[in-house]
Amino acid sequence: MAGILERGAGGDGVIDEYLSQLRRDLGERGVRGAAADRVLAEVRDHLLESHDVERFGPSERIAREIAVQLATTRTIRSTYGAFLALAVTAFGYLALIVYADDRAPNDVLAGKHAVVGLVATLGLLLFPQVAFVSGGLALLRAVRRRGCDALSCEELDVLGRRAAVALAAGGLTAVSMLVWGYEFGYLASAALFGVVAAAPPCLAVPSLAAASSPQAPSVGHAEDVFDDLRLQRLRLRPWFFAGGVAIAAALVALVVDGFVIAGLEFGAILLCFAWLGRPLALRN
Amino acid sequence: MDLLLLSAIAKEPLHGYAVVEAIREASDGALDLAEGTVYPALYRLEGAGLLASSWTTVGGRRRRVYRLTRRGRARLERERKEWQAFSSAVQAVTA
Repeated sequence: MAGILERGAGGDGVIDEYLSQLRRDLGERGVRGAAADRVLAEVRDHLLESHDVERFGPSERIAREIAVQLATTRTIRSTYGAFLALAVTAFGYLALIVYADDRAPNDVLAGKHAVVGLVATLGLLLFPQVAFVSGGLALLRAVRRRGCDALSCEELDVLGRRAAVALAAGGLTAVSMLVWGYEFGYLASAALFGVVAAAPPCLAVPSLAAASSPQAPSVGHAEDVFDDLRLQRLRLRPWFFAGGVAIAAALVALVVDGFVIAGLEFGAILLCFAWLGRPLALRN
Repeated sequence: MDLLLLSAIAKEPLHGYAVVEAIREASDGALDLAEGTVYPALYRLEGAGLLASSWTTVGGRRRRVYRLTRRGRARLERERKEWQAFSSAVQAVTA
């Protein structure tokens, strides 16, 4: 009897219809599975108490706001996860460096296959730095955006790309470790440290992929690295900034590793700035 | 919005509809929130660690109940102070 009396603006039939529409709207925004089930259960409970669908608001608007919120929360959380994963990767990488410090040959062409050994050695030099810089920038942006109501899809894309590049570089670091170990006769130790280095990025990838599922339609301007570092004056001269960073890194490499590595550092930083500058919001 | 939600939930753990009702009643109907917009805000506060939530079953249906975390209580205190300072300043000017 109660159900019959309730039919109308907030009756069971109207509520079911509203929930079906909300499920469709959530699905269109990429909110599915457990996340959608939770929202629908809460909204159903709410509407069975209020008996007023109109006061609750249009399902499309609710779905949009929830998608924006989920995308923001998940992206920031997965960025923290990615950085933690890379910290473990860094531990595995440093362990191999310490282990190989006294044992590794001075000749980078002394591997079983000269070219493969050389590429693996360059990978060991380049990928950890890309992972560190990209992961660090992702973390910096996530910390700056902590507690924000909702991020625009442009901001979410920047965060997601920085974290993804950092994880990919972390994975490539682990691959380089394995190949280097094989080429130079330290396969067992390289495999051990390589697995330690590779596992966390692999585990962090599903979280990052799930974060990109809800489609956040919120529009807005995405900030760049100059906002992150509070160096807005350099925005109009991005290559001046890149050159300064490259020279500083090369000088450090010159003192620690010599002229060849310093030259590689300098070139690699400028190359990465050209290649990854726009995806990582290092320049416009 | 955050101050209102945190204040309502600080008194006792509440589900979404009860949060809307608590705010409406406490303000004598002056603050009549758009009900559906409460949920994205609750999810955001939960994501920020200011709220925690759990399922209960009431009358045969599932209900998500929200409660304040320690961090949420600290944030509430801070937001209350900020609001009181702002409110006092406006009152001083407009009185």
